[in-house]
Amino acid sequence: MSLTPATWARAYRPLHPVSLAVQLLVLVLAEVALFASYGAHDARFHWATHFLVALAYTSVLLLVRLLITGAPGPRFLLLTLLGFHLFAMAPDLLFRGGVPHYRWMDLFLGHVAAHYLPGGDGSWLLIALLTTGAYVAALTLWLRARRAEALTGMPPGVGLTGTAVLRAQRDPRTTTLVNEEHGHGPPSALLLHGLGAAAAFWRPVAQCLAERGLGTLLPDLLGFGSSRRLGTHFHLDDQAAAVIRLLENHRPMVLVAHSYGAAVAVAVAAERPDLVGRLVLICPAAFADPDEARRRIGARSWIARKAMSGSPVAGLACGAMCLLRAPLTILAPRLASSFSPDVPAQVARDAVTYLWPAYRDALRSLLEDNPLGPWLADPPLPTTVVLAEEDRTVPADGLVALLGRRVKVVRLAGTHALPIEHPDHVSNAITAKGPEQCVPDTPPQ
Amino acid sequence: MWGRLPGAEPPLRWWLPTAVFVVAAVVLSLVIALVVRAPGPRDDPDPADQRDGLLLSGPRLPPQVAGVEFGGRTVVVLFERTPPAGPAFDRWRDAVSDDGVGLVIAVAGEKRTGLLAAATGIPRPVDGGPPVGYAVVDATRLVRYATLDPTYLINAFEVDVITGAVAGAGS
Repeated sequence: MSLTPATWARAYRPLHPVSLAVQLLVLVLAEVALFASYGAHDARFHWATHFLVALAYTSVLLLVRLLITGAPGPRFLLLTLLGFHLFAMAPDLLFRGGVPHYRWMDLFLGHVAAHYLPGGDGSWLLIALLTTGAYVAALTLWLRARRAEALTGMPPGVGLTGTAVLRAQRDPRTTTLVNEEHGHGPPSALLLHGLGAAAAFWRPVAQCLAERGLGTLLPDLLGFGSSRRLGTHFHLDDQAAAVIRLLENHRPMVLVAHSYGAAVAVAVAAERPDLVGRLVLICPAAFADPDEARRRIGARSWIARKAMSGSPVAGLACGAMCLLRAPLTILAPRLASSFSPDVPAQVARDAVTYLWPAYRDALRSLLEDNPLGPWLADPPLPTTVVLAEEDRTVPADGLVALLGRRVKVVRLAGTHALPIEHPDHVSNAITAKGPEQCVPDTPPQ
Repeated sequence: MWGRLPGAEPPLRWWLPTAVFVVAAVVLSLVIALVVRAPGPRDDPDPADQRDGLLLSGPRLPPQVAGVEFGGRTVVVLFERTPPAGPAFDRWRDAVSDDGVGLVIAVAGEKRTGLLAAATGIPRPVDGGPPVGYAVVDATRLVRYATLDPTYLINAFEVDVITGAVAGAGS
């Protein structure tokens, strides 16, 4: 799903001023009626308790929803509060119908237990004001961020998740991709990472190349690594445009790309061949057809399968992960060191810190407008493809069938994570030299 | 790369939610502080225990307490500081006892009132004086409800709910 005017119009619908005004009127009238019904038998404190509990629950729900989905909701914000209040006070309605209270009625937002909070309604008032204040603060930041994006001509980031929803994204038309340089002298190769990775993925290779006197440039693509706050569009042409802006400041370079990055590299080379010397594509994400792509990429993870099927569950799961980004960045390197000791800590962190829309749009680019097939069949520029013999995502044999005669092929032992597993062999392929060994100066962090 | 984006700006001014929140917070705080009744001197020291609607399961009273017989039918013991009277009380009494429920009125100062209060476990009010409220004892002599309720005259339906819920016991 692309960001279109319909997308943000849908995201803005819950904030329509007329709708909010009508909802506010209905809410106030309904609450006055409920207050009066409690007041008729001297139980106003019950009204207060359950209203404040409902207000606190509603605020937390709306806040979590805003942070997970990247847009306010549900459709009727204020009526949601009324709904929660009616739910919270449902046992009192049952009481009027002849049913006394039971402990299990705490299922109704703690209907019984709520009265036993020390401080009573005063405490609930404080809690309700704090939670509502938190939601209002988040919504205010969200509104300011979307307005700032709109004023610069960017599509509003209504699909962004986690804390990204609270900050305006930077305009990639005026801001360069975050990148790091390795080696001495002007860079002669640009290394593009794949899906769920960032510049750190290439550091072992960049170090090998630096030892051979080759300077490299390692950018974080839009929505990944330190370029996470760049842009709200993450389709192939957006990524290519950002890379082209980076290349325009340099002389023509060797474009080295891994997996999904290969699709970006080819899009760049097709758009601006004058900026590209040649291409070296490591395990490029090229598939015989979209079904094969779905099957292979889907085998990588549950989230990938859901994202490709267009399921909103994937967005919710990724949104929840974005909310948990801080603990995940601590946990991921530890898990990686246990299960995949070869994976550097920063690569493990990058694998959990990308933006969900960037991941989703990248997958869709591979399925819907993947330029690798035609390019590899008949490349207009010198192209080397490095295959990994044990690659399950892009099997070597399947890939070979897609390659035209003009493509130079290098087959190496390893899996899809070839640049991490064998940086020296990959460096050999990039420099087009014979076998050489290089030892990293510092162990992976 | 991107052209003009109609409708990209949010439909709500960024400061509006904060302004509405501040006004609503003030109004709500005033309502809670001024309109919601604060606990009075005849209420339970713990307001959460006053008219909580939760049935008790005891204690079980002897067949006779201070000359009042329990067992065989539901009995409501009303605790008051002065003898209740007037049309409001008549309506309350009729509503409470119209389905065979026994009604015992225990007025402060009478000897049996203290014994009944102790037996049913009705709480002592904030002011330390005699209780104003009621206890419900089922047909098996179990105390099923005991609450302070200084406004019991407008809450006959609450007594009905409790007596209705315990009506099946022992019958």
